[in-house]
Formats: sequence, C-alpha cells, structure tokens
Amino acid sequence: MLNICILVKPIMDPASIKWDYQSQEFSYISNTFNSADTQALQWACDYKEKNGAKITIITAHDSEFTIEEKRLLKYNIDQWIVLKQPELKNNPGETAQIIAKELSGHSFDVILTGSVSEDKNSGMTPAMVAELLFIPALTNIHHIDVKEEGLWEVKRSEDRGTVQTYEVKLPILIGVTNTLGRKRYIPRYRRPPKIKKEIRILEKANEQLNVQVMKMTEPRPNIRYFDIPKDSLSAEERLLAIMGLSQDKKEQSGKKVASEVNDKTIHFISQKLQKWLQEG
Amino acid sequence: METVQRDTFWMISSNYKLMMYIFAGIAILVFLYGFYRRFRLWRRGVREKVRWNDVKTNLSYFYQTAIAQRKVKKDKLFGFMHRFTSYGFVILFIGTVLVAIDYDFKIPLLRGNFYLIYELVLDVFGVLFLIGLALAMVIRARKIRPRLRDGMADQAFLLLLLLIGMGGYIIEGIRISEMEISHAVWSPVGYGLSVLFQGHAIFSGASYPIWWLSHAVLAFILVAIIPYTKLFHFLTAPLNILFHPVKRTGNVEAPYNLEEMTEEERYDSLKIQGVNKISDFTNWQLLSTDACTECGRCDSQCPANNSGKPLAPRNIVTKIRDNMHHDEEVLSFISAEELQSCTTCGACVEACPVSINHIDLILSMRRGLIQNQVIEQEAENMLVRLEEQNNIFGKPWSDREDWSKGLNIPVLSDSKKVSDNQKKEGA
Ligand code: SF4
Ligand code: SF4
Repeated sequence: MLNICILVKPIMDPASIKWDYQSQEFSYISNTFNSADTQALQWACDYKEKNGAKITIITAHDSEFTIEEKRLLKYNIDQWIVLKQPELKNNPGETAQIIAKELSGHSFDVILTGSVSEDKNSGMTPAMVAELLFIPALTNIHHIDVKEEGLWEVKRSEDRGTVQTYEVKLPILIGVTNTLGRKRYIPRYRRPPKIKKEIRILEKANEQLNVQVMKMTEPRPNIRYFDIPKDSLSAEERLLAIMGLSQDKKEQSGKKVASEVNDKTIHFISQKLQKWLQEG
Repeated sequence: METVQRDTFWMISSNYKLMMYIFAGIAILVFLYGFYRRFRLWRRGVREKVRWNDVKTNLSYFYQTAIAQRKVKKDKLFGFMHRFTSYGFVILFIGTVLVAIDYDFKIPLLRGNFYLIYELVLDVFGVLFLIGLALAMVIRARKIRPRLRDGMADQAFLLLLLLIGMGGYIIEGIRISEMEISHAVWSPVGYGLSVLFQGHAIFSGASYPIWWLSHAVLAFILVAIIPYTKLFHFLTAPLNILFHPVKRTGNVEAPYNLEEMTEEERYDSLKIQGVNKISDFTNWQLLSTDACTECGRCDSQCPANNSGKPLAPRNIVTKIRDNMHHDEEVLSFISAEELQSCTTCGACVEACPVSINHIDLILSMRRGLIQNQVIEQEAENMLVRLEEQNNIFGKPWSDREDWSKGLNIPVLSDSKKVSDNQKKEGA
C-alpha cells in the first residue's frame, strides 16, 4: 500500500481578492488552498479508493494565517500535519526548509503537490523540497499512470503540444498541473473520515535564508509563415526565423504570426525551408 | 311458513366440511406468512412514524382515490372495469365474512329481510364483478392499453377470479333448483341459472358438493397467493393511501430542515445521506412499492420515459420491491442514469392510482448518489464552482457586484461594518 504525502499550500484566493480603495484594505478575502495541490490530493484520494493507500497532508503557513480546515478535512485522508511558523511569508525558501525537515522524519513513497502556487506562481517550494531531501522531482505533470507501486509513468506537456513521457521510480516528488484530473465535489455532510491531525508550532526562523528568487520564462515563439527571410539576415538568423524563433519585432505583422504549431504552419515552414535550401 | 335464512352447509357432508376448514386454515397460514414476510422487510427501513393528523388529511384523499377511484376513472374504459371488479370483490368479500359471522360465530345475521337484500346485493355485484373481469381480460388479450405488461400471470389472476365468481353462481343455481326456495327471485342470477340447470346431471344435487368444494378451494388459493403477487395491492394500496405521511403532487420537499439541525445531526442524518441501500428507505416508502399494481400509468405519463431516456418510473418501483429482500446497494439494480433522468415533474405521482410517490423515492436515491460522488460532470462542476466562488459560473466572487457599477445602487455592508457605522452615528 502506497504511503503518499501531499503538500498543500494555504493561500488567499487570488481570483477574487481585491483592494478596496475606500477602506484601504483587502476585500473579498477567502482563504483557500492552492488549486493544483488539491488536484494532487484528489488524484491521491481517487487512487486510494481503488487501490488503498495512506494519505498524509502537510501544510505550512504563517501563524497569523487562518485556514479553512473543512476544505481539506472533507477529503479521505489519514493524517494531517500542520506546520505553523511566525513570519513565514516574509522568508522565501523557509517553507521548503521546514517541510523538508518534517519530511525527513517520515518515509513516504511519493510526494505529490502542485507545480506552482496560484498566489506567487514561482514553483519554488516543490523543487527546493526535493533538493533538500535528495530525491528527484518532476513538475508540470498532467497525467499519472501507476504501472506498479514503485514504477510510475507520468506525462508532462511542453509548449507546442509536445508531450514528454517519463517512467519514474519512487520515491520522487511530483508537481502536477491543474489539468491532472476531474475536480470532484465532496458532499458537505458525507461522513467524515477519521483523521489524525498534528499541529507543530515552530519557532520563528533565526536568520533569513540567502535565497534569491529569479523568474525565468521562455519567450513565446512567433511563427511567421508568409514571409521569406530577408537576404540581409545571417544564416543563423535566417534559420531561426524559419523555425519561428526569431525575435525580430519589425518582421511581425498581425495575420502572419501564429503562436501554435498546426498543419498550416508546418506546411508553410516546410515551403520556406525548401525555398531557402534551393536559394543556398 | 318457510323461515327465510341461509342454509350454509346444505348437502355438505362432515368430511367435506372438515376438508374446507383444513384448506381454509392452510390458506390463512400461507397468507399470514406471506404478509409477515413482507412486513419484516418493511420494518428494515428507517422508522417513519404515522401522524394522526396525516391520517385525518388522508381520509378525504382515501375517499377520492380508493373509493371514488377518481384517478382510475380518468381512463373511462379502464375506470368501469376497475370499479366493477373492485366494488364487486369487496362486496362479495364482505358477503363471505357475514356468512362466517353467521355460521361460525353463531350470530344470526343472515335472516329475514336482511338476508333477502343480502342475496340481491351480492347477486348484482357478482354480475358487475364478472363483467369487469371479462372486460379486463379482453383489454389485455387485445392489447388495447399498451401501457400494460401482458404477462401470463396477469391473465391467470383474472381467470382465477372469474372462476371463483362463476363457481359462486353455479352452486347458488344448483341449490335453488334443488331446494325450490320461495324467495329465490331475490337472487335473480342464481334463479335464472336454476331454471337452466333443471334436468342436467352435472348441475344436480349429487354433484353439488364437488362444485362447492372446488369453489372453496379456488377462493382459498386466491387468499393464499395474495401476499406473493401483485394482488397484494388489494391490501397495501389502501394502507399506503391512508397511512403514508402526506406527500402530494407538486410538493417536492427536502425531508430535513438544515436550520433546525445541529452540525452533528447533519452528519448523522440518514435523510441527508440519502438512500444507498434498501434499508435506508423509510418503512412507508418500502411498503408503498408493494402497493404497485404495475398498471404503467406512471410510465405512460413520464416525459423522461416518453423521450427515450433510460427511466421508467414503474421499473424504479418494481425493482425496489423485487430487491427488497437482499438489502443491497441500490446501484446494483437501479442505474445512476435512470435516477438522473428524472425531471421531478410529478406526472407519475399524479397518475399513480395507489399514491406511490416516485419523486420521493427517486430523490432520496439521488441524494445517496451525490453522497457517493456519482454525479453528472456538468452538475458536479457547477457545485465545485459554487463552493469555490459562491456562484455557479465560477466567476470571481468579487465580480458579483460589478453589474451594479455606475448605477448608484446602495450595497448592504456586512453586519460588523453596519453596526460600527451605527455606533458612529449614535455617537
Ligand atoms: S417525476 Fe420523474 S419519473 Fe415522474 S414523471 Fe416526471 S420525470 Fe418521470
Ligand atoms: S407506480 Fe403507480 S402508476 Fe406506476 S405502475 Fe405502479 S401503480 Fe401504476
């Protein structure tokens, strides 16, 4: 029977929160849990229903943050470990530290969580946790197939419709996307499962971790399929332009630009490529 | 002067009499066991108490449905048929009970003028009974009402009743022809037959005991099979109409009031959890399914059934009835699609002549489906969105007021702010 750990991040719902200029405070605050994390939890519960498993949730949050317990207690979990630390939100990287410390005292077969959180959107914690535990991590996973208990096949979708399939051995940390599965409605008055809840109140971190958060994003390619590359471009630039990776802004003109790969764009790219090769 | 009274065991030897009592005893035992068998199953359900106020309200409804048979009457041909057979059956049954009181309990009832009227009434209703049965057999044989299922068993029940009715007239005819009773005209049918029987060996006094015994045996077979067949509705339909807590057409209620319950009660309430297995139904719900006559009126009116959805309300009722003894998960014999196809329009409840509340049964099972997360994807998405953003479209909760922007519409603040403002104003 698998021993699954889910990392769930308590957040303020970013979809609805608003700054109220009149009262100079936030309004429409609803404390909830990161949606991709709950997707991972739902997946684990579905797995448990069919195959049996032990599910432990770990949440870490600032001591001042109030969490809506019912939103998690309704899931069919076995254990819930709550880590509370003062000023956690001001200390980047500390969440991963305290989670990794807690996890090192347990032996889970797999750690599931969302790839990124809806509020900060950095995707830092899962990667750091895996790093600190010396286990591999795979993020952006949208499909999980359990081949054997210790051998899983997971799928990650990349840009331009590419799907990468990995066969992974447990233990591993898997970060999932919001499209992992169907979100289930859990009836409010369903008989609640018996859950062992442990709350750990942690000391305020003594020193700030030296963690620098850098945001790295890949530029979205523009595929232009009507123009023939200009002669003035170097061979390398021409090739990049043909492959649709050129960042030459001047060349962009609305209708000729597509940001996804489909039969039409492939056709024009191949046409251009052939023409270019002939020119050579 | 001849005394006008009933000679109950005319020409019947003590052996025949004994045989009749033995058959009667067996039939009653088989009947009682059959009743107990179902009663035990009803008791497995959640106990729902009968409130006398409900029964009082039900009385007028009972009159309209069971006695005036308003619902059955809507189908004219069938209405005649059913009233003839049911009134005939009840009057003949009462007649037989009076005989037992008169003879076995030695209370002299069937004497003098009362006896003459008794004979006349029974004769007339007996004829109606036979006409009704013949009509029913023709309707079934010629498939005049497509809603009816044409099982051999249904025709066999009708034939059995017909034979019992005819047997009664034959023994009456032989008795009158042999005894030359002066008041025979008070039994017009029997009298007519007695004239016809004159001189026929097969209808002579000598063969009378055979006719008499066969009539009795057929009647006892009928008594014995009632609780094992759909004829059980003779008993359960009136019980259901009279005692089932009032739930009328057009009144779809939740069987609980969330506001009156504590949080713990809500979690424990079987009614909120809905029906997952047979024993989650209430005892009256279970009894009501035994009242089904399989007439198919509900199916013929059901919009879901008529538009090709996988729902037939009659099947819902009969499947619960037929699976009652297993106490299994309802999903093992009723599919989620069937339950989800119901529009809760109430046409079935309106049509049902025995006051079965299909919506009540279907909704309680649907509640069970939701508790087990068996729910249509779109409906489920809606519930998830409602839970997350307090609206069914999943739009940000904060956009809720957007429509009123620029319209100068006052917005109610939350109670804390209001009371703070009031305090300020007061100061
Ligand atoms: S309430 Fe449901 S079962 Fe009854 S007639 Fe309407 S759709 Fe059919
Ligand atoms: S449920 Fe009512 S209407 Fe439907 S078949 Fe049975 S008795 Fe007839």
